[in-house]
Amino acid sequence: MKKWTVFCVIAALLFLVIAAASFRDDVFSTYVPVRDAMQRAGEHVQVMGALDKATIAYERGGGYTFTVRDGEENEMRVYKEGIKPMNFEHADNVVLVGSYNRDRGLFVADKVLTKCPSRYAKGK
Amino acid sequence: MNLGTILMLAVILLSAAELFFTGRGLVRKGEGDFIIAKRIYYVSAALLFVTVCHLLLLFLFDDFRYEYVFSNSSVHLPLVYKITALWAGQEGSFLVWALILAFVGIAVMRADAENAPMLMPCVIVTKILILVSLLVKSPFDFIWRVSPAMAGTLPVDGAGMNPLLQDPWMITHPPLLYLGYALSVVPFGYALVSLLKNNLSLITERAYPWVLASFTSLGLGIFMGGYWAYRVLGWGGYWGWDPVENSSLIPWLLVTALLHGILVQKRSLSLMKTNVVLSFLFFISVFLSFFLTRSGVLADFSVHSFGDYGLSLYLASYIVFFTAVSFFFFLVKSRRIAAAPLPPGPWNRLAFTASGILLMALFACFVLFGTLMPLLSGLFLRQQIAADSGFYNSVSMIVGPAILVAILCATMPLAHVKRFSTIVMALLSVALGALIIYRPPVQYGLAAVTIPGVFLVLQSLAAVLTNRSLAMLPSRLAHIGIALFMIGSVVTHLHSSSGQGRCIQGRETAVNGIPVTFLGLRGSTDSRLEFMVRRGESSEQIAMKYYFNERMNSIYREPQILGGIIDDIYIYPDDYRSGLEMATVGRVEKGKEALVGGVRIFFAGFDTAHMTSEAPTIRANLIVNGRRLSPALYLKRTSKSHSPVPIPGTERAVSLLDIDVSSRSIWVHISPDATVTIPPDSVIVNVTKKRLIWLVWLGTVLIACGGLMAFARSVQE
Repeated sequence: MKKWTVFCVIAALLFLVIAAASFRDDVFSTYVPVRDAMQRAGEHVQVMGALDKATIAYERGGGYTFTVRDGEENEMRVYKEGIKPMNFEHADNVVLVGSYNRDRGLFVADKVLTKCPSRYAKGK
Repeated sequence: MNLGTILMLAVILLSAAELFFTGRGLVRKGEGDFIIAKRIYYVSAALLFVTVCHLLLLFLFDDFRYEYVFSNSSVHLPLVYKITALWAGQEGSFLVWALILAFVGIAVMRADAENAPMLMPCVIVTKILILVSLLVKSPFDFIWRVSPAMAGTLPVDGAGMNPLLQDPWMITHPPLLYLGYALSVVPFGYALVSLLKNNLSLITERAYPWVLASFTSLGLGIFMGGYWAYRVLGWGGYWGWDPVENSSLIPWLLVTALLHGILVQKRSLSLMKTNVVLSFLFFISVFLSFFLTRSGVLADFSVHSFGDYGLSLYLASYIVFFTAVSFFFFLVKSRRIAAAPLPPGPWNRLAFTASGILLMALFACFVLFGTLMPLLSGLFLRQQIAADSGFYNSVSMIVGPAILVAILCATMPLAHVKRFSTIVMALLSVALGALIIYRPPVQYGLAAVTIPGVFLVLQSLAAVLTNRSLAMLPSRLAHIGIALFMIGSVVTHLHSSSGQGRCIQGRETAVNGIPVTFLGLRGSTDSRLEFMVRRGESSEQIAMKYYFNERMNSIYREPQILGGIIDDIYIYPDDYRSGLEMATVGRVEKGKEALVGGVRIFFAGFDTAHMTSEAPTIRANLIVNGRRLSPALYLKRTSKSHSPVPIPGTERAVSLLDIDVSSRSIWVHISPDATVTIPPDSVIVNVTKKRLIWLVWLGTVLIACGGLMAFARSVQE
């Protein structure tokens, strides 16, 4: 294969990937604190917060909501479609990927990652 | 130092001796040294086998003095899982990896005695490096070494195996992956030897079966992991672009590229240097995978709860070492090698295969870039940015169809292009491909996957039926597999539907159009939720695991899948509520009033007398029906107990069940009397119809079948 053919294939591919990605808003997400996530409404972000276990509730139309807090008294209500991940109630911190919806006053998460203390860490 | 550590040290020392004698044999060209090295190798492999058996026995005899056994097993764990607990954690799986590698070494010596003296140092060095990292994080560490708080106590039971791992698919998933990883050392070794001997045909003549074996076992391992995720995790998917998944996909993409590179080299003597580089990259990517998933650098970006195992520095130095060795020899030696160019021609099938190789390598680069994104952005932009599924989907949407087209061009002779049957198949593909993506709002871009995908399936099937020669069958099967896999992913993504609802016990509820009746929670320790699901005329009773798991310290639940030709019905429950509990238990926050079981309760605060004693007691100061009552909660070492306090003027009593310090609230129980109506039990159920998901499984199975058949044939040859 000639070098310029390889170069052309790579260039064409990069161009197409960038073009395809520009149609979506869930390509990259910046890691931000809870307050920034609410300020940057509509932007796809990644945010970690402490889970308030008493606020977890299923919605009538499907999905569930809960509240997360940061260390500075900022709190944010979160909505996620579907069923809670298995060890959700056990998690102290959760990482959310999604964007804040100002009209609904909710952070709509498309991914929830739970960070659980292991049984072992507790004993230490 | 215990027996396990002594055994591992002995294996390391013996391996060093093998290396010494092999090296001396290579320098002196002495056959005697090789024979000694070979004998030592057999002894060290046997000792490593004994080491693994020793660990297995520790599991079988429940020796919880060992931290690894304690963390991954328990007395009542079924026998089969006590065996698979060997690779349930990082330390054990590294040990299994080393053992598989030792066996691979024996197979290499038997298969190729001529090149074995030069190949074996690669195997031995890799084995030593894995064992050294095992000394840092050993499966034979005593529990009190890892957790000093446990000093002086002998645990009577282990923490148990994570119930998620107690699944048949998890028995075979890790060993297959490790087999694929271990086999990567062989093409790496052949690439080095071929550079040193100035004979690049070694890769095509000798490394090919090993590459096929690695391709197949890695592919099967990844597939089983995906299928397990679908069956057990409950989110209904099989691939989430998580760093752990990506780090197994990258080596597979590279070994697939290498496999095709070897095929091109076999036919035209071109791509020789490409294959050397791909062999190196494949092997290095295995260590890179371990670095990314075991060093904790991506811990905040993954659902997998891996952390820093203290191995980051070791794994990083292994990567640097192998990269330096590979590229030193490549730069020094590759100039003397004159590979033939790809044959010219307007419709050159080998050039299309080469484009496919380039595409797979680029796909691997994109996936690596996405996985490394949080680290790269942290370094260069001072802000952590993660690549989301949208990134990987955009890449797949471009590279996937490009690969399909490359396969089509590489497998279809030019003479077939203008045939009437080809034109009919093309028209049929356009119609079917368009039909598949028809679901408003139509995502036209997906036609780029479905049209060439359908065409590839039709064309390959026609080729299989018209040309009965077995020679092309494995590649045709694998290509049909990859096309079906891609079509299946699109169909499942577009045409699946999901719904959620609360099911009341004994009442039929339609969730996502499927009539479901909740029958109740049955059993005590391993309790299950039972349902009756109606599909047309027939009804099916199903039971789903739903119980409190001590190890996870949370409810463990599993989905149930009712397979079908059109749809898989995927049912996942949560939030079971006992009617009795709803009528009698409630949470009250400090300083607030709540209605529990029809009784007004005000929670004034805690009375924490006797907190310093052996059995501390907590009392909650309550005002119930205007009277001051103080029910107590007795905290014992392993359990809690409470005693009911009668509510004056009624036949009821109040008990303090639990406290939640973080939200400053308590859980109380009010015993029911004759006037209380107990509501029925209920549970939330999510029902998803997964359209034609079997296409995805069929695709992966066909890829594996193709790999297995090609492997069997190459071994015969």
